[in-house]
Amino acid sequence: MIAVADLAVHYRDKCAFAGVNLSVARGTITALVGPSGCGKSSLLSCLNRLVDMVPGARASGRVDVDGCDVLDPRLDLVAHRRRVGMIFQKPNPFPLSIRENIAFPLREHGVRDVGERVESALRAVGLWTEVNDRLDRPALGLSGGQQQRLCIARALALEPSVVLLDEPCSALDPIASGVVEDHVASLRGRYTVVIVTHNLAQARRIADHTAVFWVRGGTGYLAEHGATEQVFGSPRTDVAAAYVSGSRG
Amino acid sequence: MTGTLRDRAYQAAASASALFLLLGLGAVLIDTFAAALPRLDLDFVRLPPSDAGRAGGVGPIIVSTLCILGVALAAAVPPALGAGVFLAELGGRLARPVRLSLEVLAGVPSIVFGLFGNAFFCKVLGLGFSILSGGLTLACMVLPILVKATEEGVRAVPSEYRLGAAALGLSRGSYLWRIGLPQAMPLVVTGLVLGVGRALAETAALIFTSGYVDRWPESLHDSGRALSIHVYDLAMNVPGGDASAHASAAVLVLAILGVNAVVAALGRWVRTR
Repeated sequence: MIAVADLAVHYRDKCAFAGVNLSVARGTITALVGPSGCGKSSLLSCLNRLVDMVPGARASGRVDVDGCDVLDPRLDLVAHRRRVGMIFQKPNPFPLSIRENIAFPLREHGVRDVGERVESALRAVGLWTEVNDRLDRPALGLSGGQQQRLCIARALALEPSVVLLDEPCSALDPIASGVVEDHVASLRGRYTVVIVTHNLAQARRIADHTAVFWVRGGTGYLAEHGATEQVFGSPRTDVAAAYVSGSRG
Repeated sequence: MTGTLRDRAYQAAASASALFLLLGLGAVLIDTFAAALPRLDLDFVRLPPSDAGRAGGVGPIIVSTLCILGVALAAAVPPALGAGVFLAELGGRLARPVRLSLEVLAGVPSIVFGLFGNAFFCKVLGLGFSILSGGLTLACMVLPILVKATEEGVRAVPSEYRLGAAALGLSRGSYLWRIGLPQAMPLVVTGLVLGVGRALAETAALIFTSGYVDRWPESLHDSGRALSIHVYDLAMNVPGGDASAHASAAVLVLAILGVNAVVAALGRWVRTR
């Protein structure tokens, strides 16, 4: 369960987005859509506090993930980021072997049964049959779609409760994109998923809820949030109506 | 027409410059090895020098040189890796003065390092004329090169790795150890190669610190003569030492190539570990 209240992010004196209120129910998939520069990725980076790594970035407001105050400076970041996995736009497996990509973070978090977890994580993303004969080969030798699925496996191996995805398919070809999308859709029920996407059809296919972001005077804001069929079928705001119908954005 | 003519002129000028460079290197190597050939054999690298270096070989001098280099790298590499990582990853208010002092350090003439090493390592720390003093003085000299190389290497690592590691809840330390530093290795090795070259070629800084005793060194506290000093001494102070000087210079060139090959192999191993 994620609850965001009056959240804003500033990069030095520029406001990326402000006044965002959003709640995400456990086990559901929420898609964040909207034009570039409206703060979708910035919002995502607040949920796992990766926003800390941007020099000059400052988040204000309140973010609760599973009852834990995420913006509290005393938050145990290591434990929190283990609970909240993240997949990036560009697949970013480490320059290690396929096995080590999953095993290395597991060992760092003190997990014992590393071997079993590597196998079950790879099975969960359909990679096991494709790579089980070359687990010690470099992960960078995999195709883009395989790399992205490896990144999902790497995150899932840590048994998070929340999975954040920042345009996970936009760097992939249509076929690989479809495979990754199916795996994202299969996360429903077991994980709370927040996915940023520029692909409206994708949002419509996989998301239970859709949040439409827009820009006003250089600052992003949440224009509309609701069940996906409502946002696409009978949007309440003009901005969302124009965006989902393809006449704007 | 003028376009192609101009293109050809550029090409000719660039090729001529490249050729000139090759000729320069070739001339140095041919001159050195041609003059060295009469003295260069297995005994030359095995025996100690005799008759002030006119006869015998450079066995103890090779050993001393490698010991000095070993001390210098052992002393310089760990702090250089640390400082390079600090400058690339942490920085902050301390970064500016650190960078400035490294630039000053890089510009200090080697003779000044020699006098400093003599005053500090030999006298204040009481190490005397020794391989240890010479190695530590060289460490100060190569430090800026190694720090710069490490910093650039760590900076060149794609930020996706750093973000990915942070998003998985990995500590900065384990990220650097498993991903950052191994990825920085090619540039670190380049820095090491430059540093080794500078250290092995050094004369002025060593005259006052490691001394020029040409016996077999028995410990790091012994004075030991480096190859570059041996070449200098034979060429300048020993009448009839020319052939030995050339042969020693040839050994020095081979030593630099050999050490660089070892360093490069080590870098590859760390990267694929």
